Formats: sequence, structure tokens, C-alpha cells
Amino acid sequence: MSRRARWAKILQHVLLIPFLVFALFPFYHMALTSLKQDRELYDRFAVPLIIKQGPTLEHYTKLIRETEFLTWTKNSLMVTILATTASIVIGTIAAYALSRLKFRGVNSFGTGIFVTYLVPTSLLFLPLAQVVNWLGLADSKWALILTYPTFLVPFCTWLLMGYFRTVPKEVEECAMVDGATRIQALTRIVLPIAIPGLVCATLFAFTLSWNEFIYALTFTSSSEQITASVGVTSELIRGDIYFWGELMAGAILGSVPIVILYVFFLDYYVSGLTAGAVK
Amino acid sequence: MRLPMLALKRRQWEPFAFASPSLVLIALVIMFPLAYSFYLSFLDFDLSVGPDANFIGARNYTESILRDGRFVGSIVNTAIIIGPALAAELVLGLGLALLLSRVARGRPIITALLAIPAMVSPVMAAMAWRMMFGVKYGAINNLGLQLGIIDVYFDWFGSSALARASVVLVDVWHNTPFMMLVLLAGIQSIPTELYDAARADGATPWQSFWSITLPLLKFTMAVGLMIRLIDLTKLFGLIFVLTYGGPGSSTETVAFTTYLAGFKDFRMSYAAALSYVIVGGVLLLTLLFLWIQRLREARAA
Repeated sequence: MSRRARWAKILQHVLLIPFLVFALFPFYHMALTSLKQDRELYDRFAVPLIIKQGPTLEHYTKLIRETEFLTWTKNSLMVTILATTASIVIGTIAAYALSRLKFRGVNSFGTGIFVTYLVPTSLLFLPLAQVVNWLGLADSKWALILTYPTFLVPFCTWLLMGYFRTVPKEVEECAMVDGATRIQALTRIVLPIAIPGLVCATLFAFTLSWNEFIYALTFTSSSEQITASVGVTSELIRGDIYFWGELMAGAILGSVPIVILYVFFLDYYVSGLTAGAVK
Repeated sequence: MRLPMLALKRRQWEPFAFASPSLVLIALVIMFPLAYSFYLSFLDFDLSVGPDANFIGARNYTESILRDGRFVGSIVNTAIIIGPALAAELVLGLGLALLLSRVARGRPIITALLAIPAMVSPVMAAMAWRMMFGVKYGAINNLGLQLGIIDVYFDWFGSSALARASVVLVDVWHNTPFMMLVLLAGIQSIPTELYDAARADGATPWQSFWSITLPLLKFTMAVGLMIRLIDLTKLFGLIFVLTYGGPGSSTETVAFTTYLAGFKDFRMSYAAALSYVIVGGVLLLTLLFLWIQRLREARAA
């Protein structure tokens, strides 16, 4: 390798460093805050970039013992898992139907699904708020389990349609000529090939519902029913007082699972983005 | 001969039987809210007054556009936030994607690290920055004072210009990785033979960027920009935690004003009308975007 080429290589890495710092500093600062003792946290002359007076887990223990954080997390998990599972099942069938079966209006149906992405969230949740009231589900996490699929199903369908189109039709037709039913063709042949797509759709649906805020904020309010993102913001901020240590501990505990999931599945995430955006 | 005939027959009814339950469900989920909101927007349904509602025609619409300064202001705010945020996300995302596509060693790990901000929720992102920008005890003020860069506790959300700039900064931090990943995938799908051929013909890297990468990346860029544009018209969680629309109403976005109208003032009908005004705006923007795109292509051809 010539000297110039080697310098170019080093320069590329050096150029990335400021961006890495910009991207990661807030996380470092979050972690730092959650581990700092209160007297250092609220000391104007303490250096914000390091812990000098020794780390402590007191914010984490306070968060778990003195707030309902565990309940919120449990609610988040329950809502996310049930809503994601339901959406993936419905989305898979719908996407298969839309990508394989030729009937009148199939294209406008696909466009309609994309349009739901365009419309403002308020347009969907104003009527849903009425439905939730009619069903007597106001201030219940079941309201969220019921309403999250309204944005997850169109999204999963749209994403999975792209994947199903890449599975050659002939493979299925062969199986069906050999006597397989449509459902067997779907479960035994198409789904195994489309596993990356399913992983990707699950990942997106899981994150979308785990991070969801506006529905959770409007449909639930009592401490036993709210999810983690609402709980942390509504109960750890009292007027102008921010319980920073606990807030950051909550933010860290709420984000770490998603971040780990993504670092492992980044390739799926990217393939999902490209399936949705590039194709 | 009978078996294929049977298979053919099966093919005719099966699609409908197979597709109908989930498609009916989707249609309901899409159509019901849209239709019901539309109906609602012509009533004067107000939960703070009572459950009774009367048909009042298009009065909600005329009020929102002609007499509601706060809503019109929120359209302006949204535009002021969208412009710089989109531009910065595109430029930074493209730059990072180009850099990453050349990095040979450690690319997966660097990409993953750079992508982390996009994984956390807008609410968590806003919280992290809210703390750093805090007036007292905020990292930025404390550090600035200790290093002598600033001499007072500065309120970073004190003026409307600064508050909007802060919102843009946090949004750029949060969403540039999305743009970067989309564009990186786009760059990697360009066949390398094109670059080899260009180099063989004596083209400089700069020339091959302008005449290979950029033209072939145009579609990916357009889709990425459009997704971000639509997302930005829905900006809510970040505003809710970072500024709560303040100072005054200078960072109230359309999504935020609609939320306030519906769930703080309980004017459900009015909020529905606001939503439809936004739909009109978003559709117009999308069409304009597509039109410019087509115009450009026509000029290029």
C-alpha cells in the first residue's frame, strides 16, 4: 500500500471521530448522571464529564423501590409483545394476499396502506379515543394493545409485501400442483424463505410499540396502567422539578434492551429500510 | 386431466377466502378512523361542554385557517423546524454514508455505533438533551462556565430562535442515522464496475461522485427525504419533553397544537378539522415534492 493511500485510510477514520462523539456523548452523559451521587449531580462546580465522588446505584434502587417502574416496564412488555404478535400474524396474511393473489383493487389497497403513513397521528387517534371509551377501556393498557395494531398492521403489511414479492411464485405453484394447500404453501415454503423479512418486521413493530408515546399518553394515566415512556416522563418530572438521576436511570433501563437488540440485528434493520425505501 | 381443472377452480375462490379476513380488518382500521374523523370535523363536538353535538358545516375549517393564529403559527413553526432539519440530515447522512462506504476496517461496528441514536425513542432522546441543556446543573452550562466560555447561566430554551434551533439539533442527532443507513445501503447497491470503468477512463474521485454516485443515489435520497418529511410533520414526543411548545408557542408544531386542541381543550371536532387541514398540507407538500422531482428529471433528460 502506498503511503498516500494509508494516510487516506487513517484520515477517513479520524474524520468519523467527531461524529462518533456527537452520536454517543448523550448516552455517556446519561449513564454518568444515573450513577452520580446527588450531591455531585447538583454541584455547579463539579466537572460534568466524570464521576469524582464515587459512583452509586442509589438512583436505580430508588427508581425500582419508590416508583412503579417495574409495573410500567411490565405494562410496556405486555403491550409490546401482544400488539407485535397480533400485528405480525395479521400483517403476514394480508401481505401474502396482496403480493400473491391477483384480484381487482389489489393495487389501490397497497396504496391505501401507504397513505395511512401520511396522515397525522391525531386523525387516527381521535376516533380511536371514542372507540376506547365505548368499549369501556379508558385508562387501561388493553386500550393500547387494541390500538397499536392500527399503525403496526399497515406497517408490517407494507414491509412484508416487499419480501414476499422476492419469493419466486413457481416454487409455490410446484408445491400446490403436488397437492399442498394454500396455507401449507404459505407456512412451509414462503415463510421459511421470508424469515429475514419476518425478523425485520418484528423488530420494527417491537420498537415502534416500545417507543410509542402519544397513544399511551392519551389513553392511559393511572400509575398501574401506564407504560415506561409515559411513566418516566409523567411521574419523575413534577412541575419544574426533574429527578434527573432517576429519569436517566429509567431512560437507560428503557433503552438498553432496544439498543442491544439492534446492534445484533443491524443487518436486518438495514435490509428492512432498503426493502421499504429502496425497492 | 381433472386435477389441474380442480386446482384452477380452487385458485378462483381461494384468494378471496384467504385474503378477506385480514383485508377487511385492515380496511376497517384504515377507513373507519378516516371517515369518522371527517364526519367529526363538521360537528361542534366538545367534551368540555357535553356529549351533544350539532352539525355546523365547514365552520371548524374556516376557523382554523382564518381565525386561529396559534394553529397558523404552528404551521410556520413546523416549516421553520422542517427546513433546516431535513437539509442537515441529508447533508450529514450523505457525508457519513460516503465516508463509511470507503472505510475498510471496522465498518460494521462503526456503523452500529453511529446508528444508536436512531434506536431510542424520541422521548428518551429529548430527555437526555433536556438535561444537558439544563439552565442550572446542565452539562453544557456547567462546562461552559468552568472553562470560561460563557459567563452566565444561559437559558438555551429562552428565546424562540434558540428553542427552535435546539429542537432542530436534537432531531438531527436523533434521525441522521436513519438517513445515513438508507443512503449507505443505496451506495452499496451501486455496482463497483462503474467506478472501475470511470477510473480506467481517468476520472477523478470527485468526477465519479458527481456523475455516478449522485445520479444513481437520487431515488434513494428522494425516498429517504420523503419519509423524513412525513415523520417531521408528526413531530410530537420530542417537543413534548424538550420545550412543551415554549417559549410562548414558538415551538408548537402542528401535531402538538392538534393534541392540545383535542386532549387539553377537549374540542374533538376542532382537532379533527385541524388534522384534515394538516392532511391537505402534507398531500400538497408530497405532490410538490414529486412535481419538482419530475421537473428536474425532465430538465436532465
